[in-house]
Amino acid sequence: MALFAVEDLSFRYPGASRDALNHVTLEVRAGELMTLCGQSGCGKTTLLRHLKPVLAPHGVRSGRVLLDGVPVDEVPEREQVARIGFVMQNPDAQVVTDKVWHELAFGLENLGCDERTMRVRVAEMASYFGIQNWFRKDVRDLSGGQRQLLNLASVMALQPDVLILDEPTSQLDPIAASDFLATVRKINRELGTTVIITEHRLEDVYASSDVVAVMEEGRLALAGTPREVGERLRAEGSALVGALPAPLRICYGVRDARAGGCPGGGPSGDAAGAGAGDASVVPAGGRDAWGADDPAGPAPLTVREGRAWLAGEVAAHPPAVRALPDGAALDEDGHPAAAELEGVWFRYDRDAPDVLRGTTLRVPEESLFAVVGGNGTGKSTMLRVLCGTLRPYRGTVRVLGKPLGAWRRGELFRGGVAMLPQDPQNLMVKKTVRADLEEMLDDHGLSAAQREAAVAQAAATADVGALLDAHPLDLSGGELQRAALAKVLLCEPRLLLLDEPTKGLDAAFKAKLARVLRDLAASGVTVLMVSHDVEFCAAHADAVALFFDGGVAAANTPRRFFASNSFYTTAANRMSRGVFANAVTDEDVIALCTQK
Amino acid sequence: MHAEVEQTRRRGRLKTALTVLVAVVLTPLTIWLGTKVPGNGYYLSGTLIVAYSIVPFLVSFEGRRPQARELAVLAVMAALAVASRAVFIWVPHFKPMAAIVMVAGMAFGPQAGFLVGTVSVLASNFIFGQGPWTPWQMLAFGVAGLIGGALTGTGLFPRQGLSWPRRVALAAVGFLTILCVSGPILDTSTLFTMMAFLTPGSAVAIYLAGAPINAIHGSAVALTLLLVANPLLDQLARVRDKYGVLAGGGGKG
Amino acid sequence: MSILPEQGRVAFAALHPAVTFAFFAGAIVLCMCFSNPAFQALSIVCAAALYLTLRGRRALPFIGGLGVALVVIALVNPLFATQGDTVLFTWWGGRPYTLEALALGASTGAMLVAMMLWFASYHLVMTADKFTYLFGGVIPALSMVLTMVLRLVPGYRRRADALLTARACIGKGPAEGAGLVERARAAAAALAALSATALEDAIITADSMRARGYGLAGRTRYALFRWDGRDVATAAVMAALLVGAVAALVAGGTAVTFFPTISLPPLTPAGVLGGVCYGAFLALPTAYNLGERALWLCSLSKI
Repeated sequence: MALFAVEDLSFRYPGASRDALNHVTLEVRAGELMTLCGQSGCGKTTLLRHLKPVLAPHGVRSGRVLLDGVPVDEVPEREQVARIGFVMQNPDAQVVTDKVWHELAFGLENLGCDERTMRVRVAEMASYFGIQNWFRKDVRDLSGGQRQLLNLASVMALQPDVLILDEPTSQLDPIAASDFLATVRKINRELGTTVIITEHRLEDVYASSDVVAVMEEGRLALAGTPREVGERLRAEGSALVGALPAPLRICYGVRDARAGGCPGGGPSGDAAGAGAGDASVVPAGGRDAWGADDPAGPAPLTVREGRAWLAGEVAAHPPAVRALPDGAALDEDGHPAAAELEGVWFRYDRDAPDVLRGTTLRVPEESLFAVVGGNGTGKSTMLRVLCGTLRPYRGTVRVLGKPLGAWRRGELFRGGVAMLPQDPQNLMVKKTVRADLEEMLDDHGLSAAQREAAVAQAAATADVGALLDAHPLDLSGGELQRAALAKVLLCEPRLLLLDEPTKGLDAAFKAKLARVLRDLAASGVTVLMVSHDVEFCAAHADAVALFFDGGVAAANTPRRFFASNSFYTTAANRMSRGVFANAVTDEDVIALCTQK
Repeated sequence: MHAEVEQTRRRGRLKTALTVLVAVVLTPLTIWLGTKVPGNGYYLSGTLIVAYSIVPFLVSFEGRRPQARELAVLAVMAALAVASRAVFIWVPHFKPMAAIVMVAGMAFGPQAGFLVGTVSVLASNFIFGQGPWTPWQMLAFGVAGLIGGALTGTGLFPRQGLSWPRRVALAAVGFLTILCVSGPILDTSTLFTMMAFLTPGSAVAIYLAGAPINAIHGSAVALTLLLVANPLLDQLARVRDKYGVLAGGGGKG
Repeated sequence: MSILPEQGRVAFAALHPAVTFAFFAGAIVLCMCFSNPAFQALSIVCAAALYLTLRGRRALPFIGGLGVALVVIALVNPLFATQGDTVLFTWWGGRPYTLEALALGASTGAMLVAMMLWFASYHLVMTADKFTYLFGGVIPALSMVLTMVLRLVPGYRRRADALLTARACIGKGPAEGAGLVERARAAAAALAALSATALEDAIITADSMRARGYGLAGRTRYALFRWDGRDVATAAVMAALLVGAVAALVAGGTAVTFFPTISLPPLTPAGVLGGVCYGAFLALPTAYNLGERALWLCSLSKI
């Protein structure tokens, strides 16, 4: 029997013009790992919150949700608390108390556990999650990733039957996100806890899901095994294909190209369509026969499967060329530099360790320059040095051809430099996006019409024209990112600094952001971004530098850069290594596979 | 379930009434006892009376069985009050805490204002150091919150959307609150700890010495109220409307 | 919030919070009740010793500062209090500056110094988690709020810093050499932004609390601190010594009159016994810390 059964659930927020959930029917079986995906705003969060009545939003509802056959609102609250675990997006705001031990015990205290049980459970959880060493720490000393792990552990201390996770990794860096998702998989496998998760980065969780459900504008569009769903998305030419794991994307790309370049035109698409056809979106039996619906064999989900698949593919259709040209090396001295650091040393405190250790970097004008590297290596500090808000104690910094010291503060941020911080929320201080944008034009001595025109232009460039009257806090992550970008653009920077611009964005928003950045670079703005997002940098940057231990370890064009790395590189490169040389992006691999 | 909550609340109200009664009876007794103590009886009995005046608020709050959202919002307001000092780091000797406390009172009523005041003092002292002044500070800032609550409770000020004249008036009230109420309460604690033998002269000296400090403190509060009160009240109104937190104004003080 | 690196290393801080709290309450209240200079000296010495065992060398500037305060309070008091028969000199048109007033000032100063020292140790030992543990049963909702505030404040400070930096990086920080009002305006904008997100987060926190069952009847508390034999024994010894000290107070052996002339109470057996009890009581935590340290050094030498 299904653990959760959602039956014809519809829901509308008060004052909304359309349903947030539209006749959703879905079953989740005990022990499953279900991934729920869809564009932002498709109703994923609303659906998840209905599974836990204390979190269900207020509004007009029809249909019902059953937990073990009992309507979930009729389950006593105490039982709901214990059986349904819920982890939300924001790692910080979910923490209630100031100490790790207290947080772990919080739920048990509320349920009125006796002292003995509480001690055992807390000890167990701390040990299982490997957080026994932080046990007496203050929560403030934990990193974002550790905090989210603590949230997970303190929910698991209640020993829930089902664990619901609403975009749990969207505010974590990729390494912390992978660790977190590995723990979630471990819970599912080792404890048999049912897991329902929504994620925008499908790389990690997609392949290990038993069921993938796709939502579209409040409807449940699809549900099935990862391969079934992948095939269907491909057949429909859905934008979500861009969010699928790279091996799957590449495989589909190759098959589509072979089938004549039109997505969904191939026989496989039809077959998949028939397979999951009659919206009984609930996966039927026989889901283990994955890929049987594709004559060309199962599509690869992981890099390992991808390598095997690619080997077979290359054997079946031997390509004439197996290497892409290196392309030109990074032209170090050709263009004048927009930003230049030379032997820059910086530390936050006299007694603190150096954060920048003789950093030397040259960012040529009108390029989209990416700096990648791990956490705490000093990337963000470097950006702040370029803004002049941190002063290095040794070395020279030149911005737009002038030493930083020669800029007057007011000038630097008018037509000079501007920075989009990691958390774009930090820039938005007003009640509407428009007011926030107009704030940038204060004391510029513009007429009302000029102001309006400037705001409209920046909004158009960043694609937030429709959001001008929204409250910044009501925007989604991607919208907020672009609204903040519009605000930064009103500084009319010639050097634009971006700190982790793709954090928490789904594939569609990333594509939009990439377009905006390319347009800016084309119009003469130099973009320097610091990022963890290897795929994004490989696809869109003109040059990539690896930051390590307070300095630049290597800098090159993306192709040369990523092709020469073996770990710190894209999934496409890891998948094609040894088969193709210099293939870095999905498109590279697809092109090499399908060359005529 | 609902009846149970109602019953605990009724019991809570009874407890509150009892504590008020006990405080009223104990106060003269404490004063008498203070005169009998050979050492610094002024401070001892003064502090006890301060405690009597705080306790009924706490008992009444606990008796209401406040819900998670209410606690979370009060905690945020108190934490903002404590952290506001860090935001004004560029401005020397600037203590905006009482302004945030007053705004909390204006938005959520006198009782909530008083609690935000006391809790922010307690929390701030856990960070910066407890001292003989802690209970007095709790009272001083609690009263500032109470006054904030009274401003909207009596209808003198709206709970959101202040016009410019109102903002200026509010800043003036903030200044006077510190200068005439909260500041002198703090000075009294100084008086009691510094002067073992109270004379009118020593009292006047302490209060006069405190006045310029209170004026600076009051100006900071006034400036903060002028700049922050309106946006903050709008945000709190948004929380009240969107999530129904403390919509009733926080009940009786 | 303690500055102590590891509380567990200080034996007194490792006792049950009820014991430590009772000790400080006793020490502080009694220090305000005794004006006998011998008793005051006991209190100051014991309080300073405890603070030294807690903070080591870093305690010295604070203790030195309090010494200065004592002298200042003593010297200033005769300016306000003119009673007393022993006139040292006269000033401001014949106002007397008396020895008795000076002594009273010293007594007041001593009381203040002792109290400040006890509070300083209290701050280090009675951390917020102990406080909320102790009072969580009496004021559950408020101690929850206090816990939450203590979690939020460091985050807000960091966030305030991030906000100010982010705005400085688009040229919206206060310009160099800006006036007070302009600085306050920049800070106010940041504060408003901080409060907006803080209030949104409050709703998430509240959801997270409810999702984990906050508000259900019959809440229990995780006992991080447990009574063991040591706590019981210490509490018993403390109670006995306290009774002795209070007995001395009631017997009247401690009151000093300053005016018209200083008269110290006669030395009575009850007074002496009370003093011994008082001193033993106040020295208890220091003895605890030093004893534990000796034990540790001793066990080290055996390795």
